[in-house]
Amino acid sequence: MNDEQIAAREAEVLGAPPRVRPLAPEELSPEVAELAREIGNVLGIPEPEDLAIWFKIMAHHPGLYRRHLEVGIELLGRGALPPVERELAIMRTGWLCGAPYEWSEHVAIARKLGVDAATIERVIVGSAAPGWSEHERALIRAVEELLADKMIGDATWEVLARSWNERQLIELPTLVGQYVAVAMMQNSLRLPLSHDRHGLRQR
Amino acid sequence: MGKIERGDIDVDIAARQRQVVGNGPRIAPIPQDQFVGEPLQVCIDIRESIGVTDHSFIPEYMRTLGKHPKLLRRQMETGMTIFTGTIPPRERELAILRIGWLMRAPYEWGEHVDISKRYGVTAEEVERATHGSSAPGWSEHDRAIIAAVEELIGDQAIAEETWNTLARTWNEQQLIEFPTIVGQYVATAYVQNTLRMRLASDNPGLSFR
Repeated sequence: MNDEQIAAREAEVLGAPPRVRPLAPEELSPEVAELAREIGNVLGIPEPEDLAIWFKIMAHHPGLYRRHLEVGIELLGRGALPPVERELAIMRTGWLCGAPYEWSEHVAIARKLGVDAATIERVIVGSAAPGWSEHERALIRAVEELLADKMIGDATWEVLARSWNERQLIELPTLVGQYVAVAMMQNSLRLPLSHDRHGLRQR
Repeated sequence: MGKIERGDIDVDIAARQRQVVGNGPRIAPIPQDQFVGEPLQVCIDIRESIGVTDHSFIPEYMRTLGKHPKLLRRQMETGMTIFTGTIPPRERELAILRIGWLMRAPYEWGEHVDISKRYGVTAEEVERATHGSSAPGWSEHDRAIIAAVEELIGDQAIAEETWNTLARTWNEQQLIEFPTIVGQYVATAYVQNTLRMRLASDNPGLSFR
């Protein structure tokens, strides 16, 4: 995506207020507030202020929201994939989905995990970029194949299976599916960016 | 972000089915007689919550994902919550049919042809789901459901006109639930396609109507 395409996409999914009204603080159920603390702990955000609008929107449907969060906690907090590899896959997913919120949050998480600026640029170019290890290239390509062909191809699978056990291999398409789902939800509901985030321009 | 498919799709059913399920599972299911401990308990908990009490045979799908039991539990719980959600079941199943078809997902498509008919989707509508939102015959609301699936899978967002049509019928809970459902069934198709999940004996896959 060039500058113009980024501007067009952000106008489409961020250019107007959220499509579903965020609930006011006094409308939030205690169940939702507890969940906010849980996910904040997993992400290392002691006061999940940044996530507040998302919570207030999803709080219309607390039962479903709890389930959705629990899958996320399982993947982020207790998952089988090494954290940097997990974030590479999520970032490629967020980029291909044109998802400014997801992209900017996970670039920030990846940077905290020590992923450098050059690697972020490489995620944007994709599996064809020079500089990936064979395993990383297969990881990025797996995301691309899932988005385009709805399954991981044989060559990519074989490379991943050299490094990963069965639990990790099961987790990858689940992870990409979860973050495609998050992108669909956030883009559709027009979730505004957190204060200090730069959407698809986040590096 | 990519191409939005609003009509017939260019897919050779036999070739796709060979690609997705033809070579057998990439991860072997845990054999029934060795299916014990945590993975079995996850399946028992989920099955009992929907009133199934005989656990002498656990489907291969669950015995495969049972290799990651905690994730299986979370996924199944999300699925159950969607199944008892706020969108009318017939409308949910219409959406899932279009999802399974656009994902070229033999397992998901075949399963939901059966399930959708139980919830009032007609044989004609199953066929129409393969032709997409541009096919004649949909009500305005049903057409918007199919179009929203097409937009989410092709562009990961819902267009303004489609959203406005849905919002005339659905409340805020249902509008939040919808992209969550689409995401969940996209994720399920990714897993089933990628693991080359074997089709159950009563599921012919993409040729099923």
